[in-house]
Amino acid sequence: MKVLLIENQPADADLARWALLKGPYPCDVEWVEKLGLGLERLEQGGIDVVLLDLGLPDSQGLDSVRRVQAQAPQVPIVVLTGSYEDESMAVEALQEGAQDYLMKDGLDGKVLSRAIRYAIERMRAEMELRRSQTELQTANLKLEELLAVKESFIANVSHELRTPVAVIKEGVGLLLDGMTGPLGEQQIKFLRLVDRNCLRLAEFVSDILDLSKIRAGRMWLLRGKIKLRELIEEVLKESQPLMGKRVLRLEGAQARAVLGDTGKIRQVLTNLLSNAVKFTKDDGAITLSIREEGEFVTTIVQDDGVGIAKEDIPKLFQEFSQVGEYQERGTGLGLALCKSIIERHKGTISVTSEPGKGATFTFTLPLYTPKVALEEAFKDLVEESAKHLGSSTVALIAVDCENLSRMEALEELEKLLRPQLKNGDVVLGFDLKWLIVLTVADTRAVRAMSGRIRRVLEEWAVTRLGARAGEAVPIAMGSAFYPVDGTDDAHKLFSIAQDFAKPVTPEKIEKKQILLAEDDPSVLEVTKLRLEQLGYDVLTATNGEEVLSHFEGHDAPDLLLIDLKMPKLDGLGVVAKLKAVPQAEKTPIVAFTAYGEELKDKCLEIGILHIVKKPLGAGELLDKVRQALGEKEP
Amino acid sequence: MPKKILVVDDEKDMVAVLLQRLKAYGYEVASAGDGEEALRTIKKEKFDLIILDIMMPVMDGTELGQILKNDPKTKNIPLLFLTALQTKQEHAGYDIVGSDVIFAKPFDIKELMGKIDEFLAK
Repeated sequence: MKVLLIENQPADADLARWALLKGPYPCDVEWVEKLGLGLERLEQGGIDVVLLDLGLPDSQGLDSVRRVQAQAPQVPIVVLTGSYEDESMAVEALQEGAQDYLMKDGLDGKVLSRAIRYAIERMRAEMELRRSQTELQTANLKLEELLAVKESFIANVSHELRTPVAVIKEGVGLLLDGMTGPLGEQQIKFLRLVDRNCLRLAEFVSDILDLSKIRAGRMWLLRGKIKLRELIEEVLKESQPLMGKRVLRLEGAQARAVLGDTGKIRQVLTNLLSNAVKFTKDDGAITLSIREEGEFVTTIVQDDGVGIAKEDIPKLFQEFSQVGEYQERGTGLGLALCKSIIERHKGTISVTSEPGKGATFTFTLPLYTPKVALEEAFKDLVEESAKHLGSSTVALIAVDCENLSRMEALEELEKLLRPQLKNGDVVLGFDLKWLIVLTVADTRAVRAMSGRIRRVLEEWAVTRLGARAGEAVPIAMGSAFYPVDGTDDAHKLFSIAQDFAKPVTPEKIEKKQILLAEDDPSVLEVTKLRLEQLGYDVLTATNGEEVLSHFEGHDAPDLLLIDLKMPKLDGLGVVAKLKAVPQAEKTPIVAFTAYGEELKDKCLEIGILHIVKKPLGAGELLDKVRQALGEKEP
Repeated sequence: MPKKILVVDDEKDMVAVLLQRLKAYGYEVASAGDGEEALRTIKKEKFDLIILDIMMPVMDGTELGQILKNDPKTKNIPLLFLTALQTKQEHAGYDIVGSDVIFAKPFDIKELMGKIDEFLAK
């Protein structure tokens, strides 16, 4: 073994060398007195192990260990420590990466040799371990890549199939509907066969796409309240023709509603039921039961049919598994899809069975609470907004219906609001007092929708409640935005929306006009929306020049709301310039700024009487605006 | 006067089967193989409804839709979109607004014709 001894005390060095020479293993010892020389020697290579003293003239303690490691990371280090006090440092040296430490007093040839050999072995083992880990990581990455390619391939092929299937279906449809002339019986028979198989093909493609999307986490669930018992009764009624003489039982009291996508859960129920029917004899019995268990509702589909062999049970929920009697005719996807759907709903699904004694499928779904429904819907939309290129906002619009005396009002309003929403938006009832609308779009589109909603509410108030123009109505509306309002907690956003909620007031004939000057586009849109909701007409400017030009050709606005820090012309400068414009004389100014007291004096100097600190709180904004306009509290 | 429908789709076979049925139902029909051809045709003739496929090369259905909506001469023509993508939600990002409707392929022809009747009755 080639040993490099880095030790500055000649006496200690002698001891070490003598111990090694006397030791059982042949060693070649090279000795240097300084770390620098040691590092140079290491650079030349060929050293198997370093014996390192921690108290060297040109380096101390752990620093020595680090520098040796940096120079030769594959060479093990055994640290030599001279006295009692040095032991703690030696232990730290181990943590730094040294393989071992030895006390200099009583250096024994055997002990030293053994320490060195073990140090070399350990180092080898460590290197081996690191290499295997890297290999594993690379293999994993490769696997993930392949998985992604597979999923993408499946999805692409499936999409591609849909158009030709549609064309075939329509082509056959034309023939069967007599649009190409009369058909003979045989022709009709086989055209129907083609049509049926088209349908199967289409369903198969749909299932594959469903499955691949769910697995990629991209399945869009339209979550709402599901009354499971009612849904089951519906599905049972639809499946009547398949039942034959089988006995069907539905047990369990009316459970509370669960949170889920009705269409998808219906798919699961239909699937489980059709399996049960397929594999029970004509006079068999199928029992469905539901019950509440803690935070979940459990549904059980039990049949007394053929049953499933024990070894087949684990494979049951895997896709494309052809498992004995329970195979899906042809597709092998049904149960895999069910599992994916239920798990995406944060529920569980399982099966127990014995051959000859039937099978019992059990799945659970979480109870519906407005709180969870709000959180989940919001999460879905945030995910959706992340997929949009460019800026995109998730808006929470809260409609306060607490003061409406009629219970049905909430439902009526919900029905009215739905057509105003675009695909993917959500409206939820909350606590019997609120309607919450969640939508994702860019801020401009959100403002447009918000306007539409307000108009719908105003109209409803006028026609159903007999409200008059200019009168506030017992419905209030407020909004909050992610990310502008600074939180991604749905409940906090709801609070913010509630804070900003102001009564819906059917069109006032004469609206006061506010010129809003703000350079941050998101803050601009949100503030504009809020002012409009409060019943003002809002013009905007994004820099000082635009502000000034608003006073030049137009009638002066009733109020100027200006951000003091803007590009091109700083806010204070603009106001100063305005004071020289005769049209602007009568216009009150409200300035908002993130800066504190420093600017207050400057503002008062130029005649800005009202200052609001950013971020703009709801009450503050309205109060200052009203104050500046000389309006009274309603 | 019979109502006029324009079908825009780069799939010639799809256009063929749709035109056949629409004609049988008594509508006057025309077709275009891509967005640009559609715009040229729309300039020359007046249509009561437009069926358009979303996935088309060069200019996709939603782009065409936006152009039509932004032009005062065409913004009130009802649009009916066809897609091979799974659900309407996947098109949420396209901001197809209001009464426009999307049908996923393969669609139920009775539903499609029903929707057309609905639009044209207004």
